Amino acid sequence: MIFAVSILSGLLILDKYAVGIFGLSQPLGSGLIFGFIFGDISKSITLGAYLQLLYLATLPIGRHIPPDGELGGITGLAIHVLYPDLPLSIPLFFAILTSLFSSYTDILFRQFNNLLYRKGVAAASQERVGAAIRFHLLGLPVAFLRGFATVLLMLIIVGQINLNSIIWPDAVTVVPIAIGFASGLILFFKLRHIIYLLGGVMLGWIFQFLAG
Amino acid sequence: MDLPVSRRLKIFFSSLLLQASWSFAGLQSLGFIHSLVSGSEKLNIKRHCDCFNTHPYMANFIIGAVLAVEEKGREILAEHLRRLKSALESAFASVGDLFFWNILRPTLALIGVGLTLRFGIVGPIFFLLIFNLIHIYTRIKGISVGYQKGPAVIEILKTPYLWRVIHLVEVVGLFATGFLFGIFLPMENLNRTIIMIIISLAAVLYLFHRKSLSSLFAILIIFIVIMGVL
Repeated sequence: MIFAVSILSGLLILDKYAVGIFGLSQPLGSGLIFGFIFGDISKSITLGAYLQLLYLATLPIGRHIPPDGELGGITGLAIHVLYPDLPLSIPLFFAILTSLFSSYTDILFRQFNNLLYRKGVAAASQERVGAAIRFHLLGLPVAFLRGFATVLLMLIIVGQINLNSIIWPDAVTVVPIAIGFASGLILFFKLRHIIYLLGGVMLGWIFQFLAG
Repeated sequence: MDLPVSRRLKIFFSSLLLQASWSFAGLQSLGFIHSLVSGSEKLNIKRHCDCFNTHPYMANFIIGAVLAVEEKGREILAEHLRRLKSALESAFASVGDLFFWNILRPTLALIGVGLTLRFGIVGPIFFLLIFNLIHIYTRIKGISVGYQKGPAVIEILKTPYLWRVIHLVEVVGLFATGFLFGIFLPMENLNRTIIMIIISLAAVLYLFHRKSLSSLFAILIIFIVIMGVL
């Protein structure tokens, strides 16, 4: 099971940049796929939604390297499907942790692609088109390996240690919604549009009141 | 004149792998060569070995335009071709980043999250369906538009319609942000409400001043542990 989950994670992370970029590596999409394949679709998509809020604004801002929201989200979901009895705050915690160090492993793995580029361009400049494309496609297993290895490592770690007593149980609801709101403001807020923000808040409250 | 459907399909499918070997040295260079040779086997690929980088969903506009230039005007100098690619790369990259990464994806994700937390499976399906419809349409259309317009393809970035759409999606995103906060603010639990508001405001202030999401996440990890121990 641990290998099946890691292989699916490796395949999903291909969607981050290497294949298609269809949004399947976004936590919302990954939550649906993990839930569909490993069961418990309702809890998986709920966790996916919370993780999505956390990584709403993982865009390169300034010179800082943004956290790897895709691999962080996939790791959190993988932990949830392999250890479904753990409170959701544990996958959330490891998702944040993984997204932080994965931004650096992403750089390391992509540096390996420099070698593929040099060999590919050498082949292209000799008009060996087939060889150039083969070097290009070798980037796919490199991207897969990063996702597979990272998730496998995190699943092994989570299986060995018990953090239940030191992780804030409410973190899973409070932190993503707060960060999602902050990210939304950072991304979209303009003073002249404040009426739309306030309108949204008011409508949300009315909806909450009506839904009981 | 347009490219035959079979060639357009080949370019489309190869463009899905544009970033397969993304590297710091050549960026999307090998992926660009892959897409070009899928569209035309008679191409002189030696002229396309330099760095290439643009938004992956917008790349097909440039691929179409370069194919048009190569096929319709074979006498073009390599230096002119390089300048043309360079101008198109940066223009399409900035609009693509703004529209797809900064506005469309977060907006659809916010709506998708709201739908998921209230109505379940509808949320992720909505997100995947709408997002993919828009970006796949852009990719398919980009090949034809690029090929038909050639170097003048850059003009499509100046259409007022595009900027009206960007503005509209931005407003929807802000509204969805407010709605999400309103709907999930736990009114029955004052402590959690206060903590949520404090974290939100602190995060906004932090991001405005430090502009580092990584360091904010590091602080969050410590915060979650401290709250758990308390």
